[in-house]
Amino acid sequence: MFPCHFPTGPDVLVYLPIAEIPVNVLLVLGMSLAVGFVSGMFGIGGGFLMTPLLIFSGVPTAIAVATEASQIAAASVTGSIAYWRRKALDLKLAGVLLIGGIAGTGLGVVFVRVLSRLGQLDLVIAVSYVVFLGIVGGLMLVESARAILRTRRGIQVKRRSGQHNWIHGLPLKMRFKRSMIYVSVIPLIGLGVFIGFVGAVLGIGGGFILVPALVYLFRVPTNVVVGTSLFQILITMLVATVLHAGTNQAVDAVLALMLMIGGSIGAQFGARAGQKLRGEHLRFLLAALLLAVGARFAIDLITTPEEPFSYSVRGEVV
Amino acid sequence: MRLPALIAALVLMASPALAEGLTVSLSSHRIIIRSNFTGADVVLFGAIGRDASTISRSGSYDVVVTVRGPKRDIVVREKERILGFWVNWSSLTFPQIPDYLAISSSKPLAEIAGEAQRESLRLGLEESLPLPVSKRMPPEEVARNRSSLIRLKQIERRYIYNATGVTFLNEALFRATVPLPANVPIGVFEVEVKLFSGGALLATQNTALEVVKAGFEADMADVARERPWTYGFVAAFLAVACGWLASVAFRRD
Repeated sequence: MFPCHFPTGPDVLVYLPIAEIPVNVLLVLGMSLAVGFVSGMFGIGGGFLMTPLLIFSGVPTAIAVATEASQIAAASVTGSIAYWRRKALDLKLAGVLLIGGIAGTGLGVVFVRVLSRLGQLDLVIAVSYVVFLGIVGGLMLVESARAILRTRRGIQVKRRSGQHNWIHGLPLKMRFKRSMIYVSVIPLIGLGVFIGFVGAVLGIGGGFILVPALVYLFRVPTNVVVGTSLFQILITMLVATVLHAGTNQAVDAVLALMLMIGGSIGAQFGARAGQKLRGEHLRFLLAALLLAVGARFAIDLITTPEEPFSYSVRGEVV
Repeated sequence: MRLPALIAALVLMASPALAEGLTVSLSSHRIIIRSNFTGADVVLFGAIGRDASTISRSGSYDVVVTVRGPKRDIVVREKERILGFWVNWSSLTFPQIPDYLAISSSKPLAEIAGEAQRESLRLGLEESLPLPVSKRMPPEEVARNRSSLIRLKQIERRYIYNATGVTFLNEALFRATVPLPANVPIGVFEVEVKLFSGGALLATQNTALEVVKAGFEADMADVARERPWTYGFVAAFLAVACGWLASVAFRRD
């Protein structure tokens, strides 16, 4: 692919040993601070923002995806410790999810390798981002806009609960005491496979899919769902880091360290800023952000490229 | 009769005193890439050796310096519009071509040597990349892929052609600068210096330089390549350590 086109401000260039490009340290730290701030504010991992930013900045796609996995792992450690202390974490549920999660991660890493060999990794990642961000951002935008309008009009909505859906008819049921659910392990493992696969391919933790799925499909109480989801993401992202490095040699530790430093500092400030905003306003802003990133990928897919040609070295995963 | 001419030619070839000698020297044979590497210039000096018995020439000397980086299989892809989306559609592999190629000459190559000679000596960017045979792609498409690859490589400064890159300091001494960009590949680079006069090749000299990584980054890249699983576990450990440190540093309760 092309060399890194970071705008040159003060030249504090550091050579990334795996990506084999020099990058401006201040710019990478700035981006990771900003994404960390956003992730702290919304309580999300930030992978769906950081991975695209790295790709748009010229970091080879496979390296962006793999390196971001390690940053998400680092961010999830901090969150997991906090929820662990509060005992707001269902280890048994996380364990069942992880059976699928680790398998899905393995599939995802192999998928990245195959796509890269075929020269289609960029395309699949762009299309997936458009689809995921479009759906999740769109749904969230509508939901939060409705909530904002409701509170303006002063309407209270009662939450319906205790309803059973098709998931509760499946066999191999297991009781999860902390989450107070009795549910089949089949859809849980399936969800784990899906999150692990998507996370490894797109360089995201997948919390924005996992949390709503656990809440709406499995009726996991909100007080344990975030901790459990964070713990599940921590382990799958650690596995993704090891597998991406082991099979694709795509984890750049220097870049990862910069992302971790910027991300963890930014998250602290973001968390404080987030407490001052209302939930639906936060969700509305996040939805707009998701749609903006998705739109950027969509524009790149449909506009005539300035340069239709590209080249790569055979055998290198980029 | 051709025989006397042939004998004369053999005698001329066998007698080194009649041809020019070429001596070249690089300012550095080893370029070390450290974390602050933003590119480097290697300077090549050359001397044309003549003595009393060297035949006199009417024209001046021309020099071409070709630097070829490590060889790789390079895949060129072209995007096409499929169902409204721009997708990598065709691909063509150029087997074992240099990942870096710099050609410096004292004047444009076309004025130094004829087309057939440039082709046989691999003199020039296009001439250095033999056209691969493709069953699926017509020859004009193959040629278009090659010129696109050269254009992309030139934008990256990995392929360079400088028709005024060789400067004569006096009639027998010349200098050329080989620019190595920040994204220069790692490996051994062949340096080939050719001396021409009036369209005839008089002498060739070869030397080499090596681009290596050094320091912490080099060690890291070595571990990542040679022991990828160990590297992966270390990276995962780094993530846990960083996350734990952050939670200690920013603990608010």
